[in-house]
Amino acid sequence: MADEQYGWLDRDMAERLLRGEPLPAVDENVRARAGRLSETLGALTPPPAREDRELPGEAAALAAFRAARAPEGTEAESGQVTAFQSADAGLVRLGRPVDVPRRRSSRRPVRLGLAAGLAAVTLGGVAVAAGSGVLPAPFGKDEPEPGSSVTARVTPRPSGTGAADGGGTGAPEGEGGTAGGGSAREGAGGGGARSGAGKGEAALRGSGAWWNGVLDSCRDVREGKSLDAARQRTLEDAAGGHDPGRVKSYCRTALASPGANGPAATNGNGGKDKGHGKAKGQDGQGKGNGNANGGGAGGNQGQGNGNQGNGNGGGNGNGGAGGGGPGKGHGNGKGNDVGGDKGPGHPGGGGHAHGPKRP
Amino acid sequence: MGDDAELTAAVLAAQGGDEAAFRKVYRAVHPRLLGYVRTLVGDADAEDVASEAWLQIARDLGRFSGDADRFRGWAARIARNRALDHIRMRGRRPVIGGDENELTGRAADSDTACEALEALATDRALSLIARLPQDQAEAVVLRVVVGLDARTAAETLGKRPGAVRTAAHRGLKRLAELLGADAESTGALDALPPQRQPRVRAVTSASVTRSRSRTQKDV
Repeated sequence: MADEQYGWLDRDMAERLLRGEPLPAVDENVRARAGRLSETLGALTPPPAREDRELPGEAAALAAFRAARAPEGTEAESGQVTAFQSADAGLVRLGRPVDVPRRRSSRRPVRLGLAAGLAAVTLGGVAVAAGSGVLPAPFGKDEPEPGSSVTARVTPRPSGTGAADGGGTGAPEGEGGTAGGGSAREGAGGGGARSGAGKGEAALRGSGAWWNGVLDSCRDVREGKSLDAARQRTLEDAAGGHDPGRVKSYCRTALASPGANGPAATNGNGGKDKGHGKAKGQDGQGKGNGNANGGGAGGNQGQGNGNQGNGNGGGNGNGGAGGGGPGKGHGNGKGNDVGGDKGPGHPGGGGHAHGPKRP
Repeated sequence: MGDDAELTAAVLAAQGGDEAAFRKVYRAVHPRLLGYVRTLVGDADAEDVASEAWLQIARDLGRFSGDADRFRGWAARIARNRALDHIRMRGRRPVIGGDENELTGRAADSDTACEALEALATDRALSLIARLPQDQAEAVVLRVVVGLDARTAAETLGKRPGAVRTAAHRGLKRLAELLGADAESTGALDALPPQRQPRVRAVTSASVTRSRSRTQKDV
């Protein structure tokens, strides 16, 4: 009886419906019923993605794509069986063997690491942007200037979490700092995720203390004093190269920036931001990182920053560090205020690291 | 078919390492793949499972060969395997042919009335699909949602094309019955658009119902 009733749904009609093709000329009743069926099927079909908009998961897929094409040398060979593999083994019974032959398990961590890094970058974008400026841009620019933004987040944030804005940058292995900040400009950011390393240095970089150190070094250089290796290196990092001409030019700009001297003030707060790395803990590692950068920045920019002197703190957190490590993070932000007008400082943001995040 | 030609070209370029092409492939295929995965694992886990599938697709892309349709089929097979792994690990049954409640619930997350309506329609369609036997549901979804032809859908499922064709056809019939029943019960059919036609049950034609003959049902 059902068959009788649904006789209109013959093979041809079924094929058309399955393909989403227009229905043939049929009588009203059939049309109504076929239409209902076709609407239901249409509701199942996802709307096509807009070409210009990134879809969820896209970044991770791209990271995997890149990782898969990385030179073989970067992937350690190993014989371990991954979850994927073992899982697939059982699938065979369902049909034909999966068409995914051998895989190198070791790639997975790399991929995930990249994916995590990428995620960190994406998430951290805002923060990075906000915090940018702190670090000298290592790339390009003959006349390096000590950043110029900072503004983004001037508002004081009382609490200590920096977290909120996400951000961690932190470079992939270790030097968080550098990457962190610097890159901000390019968006790079850096995956923090990976090894955790974030290190304090990272934090430092964005901080007022770091900036002050750079300025001191610049002054010394200007006065003809020689720097010890560590300071020299810091300065070169800041300038983005060790060519003396570059360093000099960098220093000129740096010392000329408002931050360099004075109390300017305005922002006082620097610190705030960011900290916090988001990187998700993906693979086990803790990741964290963030680095903050914070605000510190202060320094620069125009805004006077008063900070200078005081470091602003910055957030920093960094947690990073750790990969794993639980704990690490520190936040810190210190307050800064000093300089500034703004007031009473709000403690910087502290970073927040969250180290312990391990999944 | 311009779309297919484009996808075919993008897949090739991606195999050559072109990132922009890979992105294009992702955007073209992901929504469909996600729609399919959702019918297998439910809404809550669909994105995770789909993204696992993409990791694998990205990694194994170099070994794939074929056109757009085959690519969709290949991607669907990978997604299916990831979904079945997921189900196995969770010790659950596929949503399809199982608990329809897991499929639904998206309407509540919608931001706008319009989206909510769409989500309702989708939820409702999914819950109907969930009432089909699994082989029928999957055949229908692979054809309709993933956009595979009968042959590719068969490859994806590891069955013969005839079997998949039959399963899809039966699935549609079953859906039509369910829709008819719902329409009749006038129940709370919130999601469906107003019925424009009175439901006349005239037997409209003398068409032979071939599907009645049970040809290799489930191979």
